[in-house]
Amino acid sequence: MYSNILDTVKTSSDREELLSEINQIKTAFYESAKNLEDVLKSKVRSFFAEAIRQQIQEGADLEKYFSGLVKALNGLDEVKLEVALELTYEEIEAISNWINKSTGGKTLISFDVKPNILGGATVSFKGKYFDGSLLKILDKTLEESRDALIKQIYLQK
Amino acid sequence: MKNYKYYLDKTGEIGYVKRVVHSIAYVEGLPNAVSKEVVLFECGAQGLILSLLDNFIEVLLISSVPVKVGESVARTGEQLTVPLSEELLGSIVSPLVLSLSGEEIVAKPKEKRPVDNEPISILGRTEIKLPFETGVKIVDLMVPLGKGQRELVIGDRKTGKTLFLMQAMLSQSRLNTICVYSAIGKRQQELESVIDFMEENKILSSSVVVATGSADPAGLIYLTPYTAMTIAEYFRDLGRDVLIIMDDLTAHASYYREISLLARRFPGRSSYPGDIFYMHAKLLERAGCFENGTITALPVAESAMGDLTGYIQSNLMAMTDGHIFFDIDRYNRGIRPAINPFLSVTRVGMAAQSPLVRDLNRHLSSFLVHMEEVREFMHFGAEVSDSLKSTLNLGIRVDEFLHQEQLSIVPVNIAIFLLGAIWGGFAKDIDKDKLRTEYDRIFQKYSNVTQFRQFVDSLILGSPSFNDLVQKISKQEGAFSLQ
Amino acid sequence: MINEITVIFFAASVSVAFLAIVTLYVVVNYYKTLKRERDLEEEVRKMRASGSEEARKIILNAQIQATEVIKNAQLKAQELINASDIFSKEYKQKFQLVIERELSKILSGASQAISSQASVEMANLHSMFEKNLSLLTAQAQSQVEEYKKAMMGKINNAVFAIVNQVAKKVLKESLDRKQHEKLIIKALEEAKRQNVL
Repeated sequence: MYSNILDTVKTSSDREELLSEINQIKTAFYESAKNLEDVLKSKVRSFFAEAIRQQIQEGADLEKYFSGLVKALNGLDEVKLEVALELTYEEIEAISNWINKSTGGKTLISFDVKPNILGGATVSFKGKYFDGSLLKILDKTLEESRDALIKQIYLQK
Repeated sequence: MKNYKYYLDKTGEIGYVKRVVHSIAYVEGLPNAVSKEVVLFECGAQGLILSLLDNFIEVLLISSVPVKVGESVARTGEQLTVPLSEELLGSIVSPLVLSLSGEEIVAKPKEKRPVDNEPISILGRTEIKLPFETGVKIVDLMVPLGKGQRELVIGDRKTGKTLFLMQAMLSQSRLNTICVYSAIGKRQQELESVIDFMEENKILSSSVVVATGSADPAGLIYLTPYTAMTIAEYFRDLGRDVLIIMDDLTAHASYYREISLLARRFPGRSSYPGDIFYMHAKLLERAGCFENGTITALPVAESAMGDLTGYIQSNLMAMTDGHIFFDIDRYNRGIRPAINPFLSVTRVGMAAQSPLVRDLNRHLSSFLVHMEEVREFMHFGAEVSDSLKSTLNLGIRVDEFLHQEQLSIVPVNIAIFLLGAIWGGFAKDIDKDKLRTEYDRIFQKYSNVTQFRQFVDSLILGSPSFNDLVQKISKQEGAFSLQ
Repeated sequence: MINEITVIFFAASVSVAFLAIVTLYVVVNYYKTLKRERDLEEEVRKMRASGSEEARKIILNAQIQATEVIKNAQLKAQELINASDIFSKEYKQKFQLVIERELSKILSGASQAISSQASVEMANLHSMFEKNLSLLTAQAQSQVEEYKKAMMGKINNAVFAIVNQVAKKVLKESLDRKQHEKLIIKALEEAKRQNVL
């Protein structure tokens, strides 16, 4: 029922945004039914406004709809990724698709930008952690080839 | 302990702080965490896992570094251990065995032991056989202790408990005992006065001080006596006799109550958690008389208005081998030390004393009880017979004898000798005002004149009963001359 | 009657005159005596003064003489002592010489017997000394080697650290977006392999 909405939510910040929009609609609806259209026009994203208008047309119970949507949103698992730089929308989409394919369900991503990891990402999901950063790889490689490196430097001298 | 990143990579698990309530942090994640495990925060703080809830882990913070919500946490896979070696002697450490400014004290640890150990079972223990000298006459003669005994020191605040403990430390360090003093949430000024005393009397070099101030986190204060006991056990296993002082366990109980209430444990009597008895008993059971050494424990409890029926006070009295009661009434009357020998108890100490001391104790106790009755009788203003007069006279001499200045110690042999002399009538003609000076002179003579000391020691050794001693002393009149 | 009065008057006046003369005589004598006494006292005082002056002179003289005598005595004594010292020194020296002579005789007598043994001992000492020396040199060399190693190690660490830093800087600036994306996916794949996802 909510799949069209949930498909648009890829990151935790998307979820936060959607939850605040739902809150605004609920507040407006509580105050008066007339305000609803104003809020849908000005404060809510178009795809979501459309979906709500459709629900209204179908005569669905909005309160039930929203509580169901909020429950679905809060029930989504979250993966924390530490990356080296800000990603574009397309890049986020590609990564999100990959993750959803591999976890077999809908998973949100929470991004944390840390330039010191140089590249790659550190992944934490449900309490488990993996460091796949370029920093770690570089440190490891340099450490392993340390002796050879030093010899080379002295030879070059 | 290595750094946070190392443990993150090693365990492959991470947690995030969701909520912080004073000294407890609620962490989400860390699926394989175990109770009592040490966790490290990204900011460098340390914590101990208290309990495992459905969605969270309750972590007790033991560093003063503040922890923020959202901070990441790594588990170490280790219990809390402290590094131990003889380098500890002479140092003042925190419960994590770091200096008070956070630096490492033990550079090359010989051993690392967990702070929370199981006490040794009955098979590893022996009977208490040797006497424990405190240097305080009224204790050594009326409430004598044995090595390996757990004796509670209880009284109102400012009645001289800490001073008595310092006297005991001074006596024991002269007899080659290692002293471990744990200051639990003490004020800086109080701690400094104890440390100054230890430095002046050169006992710091054979002692270890484990200290936390009242501004330290509750988790760290909670660990103080456990670390002190672990250090005591280490030295016991090296074959040494150890004296451990826990000053004071009522404060420790209140900090544990704070932690338990924050962790939403169900409050029991006086809001203390239900396991408060277990927590103290487990600690005190680690002291005792063992095959390789002894740990004599002197835990301290503070009472309010002389009330010994308080929860923590009665708990501690139940789990120790006796108590020394510092009476506020005696203190207010100017009696020093303010120990009430009638309300003080020693359960195993008498068995460790010589027959002479036991006999002396019987005589002295019955005499003091008789004196109390006589004093009550005197209130009526009745006429006093000659025998009563001589009893009163002897009573005054004995009272002056039992008086002891703060921070002075008197070896037990000379105390016994002098009491025997007083019993035989030595001081009956000396003015009341001059009694203390005269007694001090004799104590000084014992310390300074080797011949006199040897004479006294051999006399004590060769007297099987108190009456025997009194008779022998009466025959030796020249022993008290000034030369 | 008139003769009697005249005689009495004449006798009285003669006696008064006589008394007056006597009194005068006594008074004059008294004064003379007084004066004489005073003169005598003066003389005595003078004598005394001169006498004490004399005495002082004598005493002073005596003191001077005494100090001279003492000085002389001291000098003499010192001379005596020196003389005795010298004497004893000389004697000592002589005695020493005698002893030395005797000793040297004994020594020369014994030295021949010892000399062969001594040379052997000397040879032993020499070889031991050489061994110790080589040991010490070996120790010193090994210490130097250790120090060298430690220093080289420090330098190597510093060099390595620099290489590390440089590599990181270079990498940071040389990756493009596509490569970044690939790296992230790779990290995710590895995480999946390790059962994190």
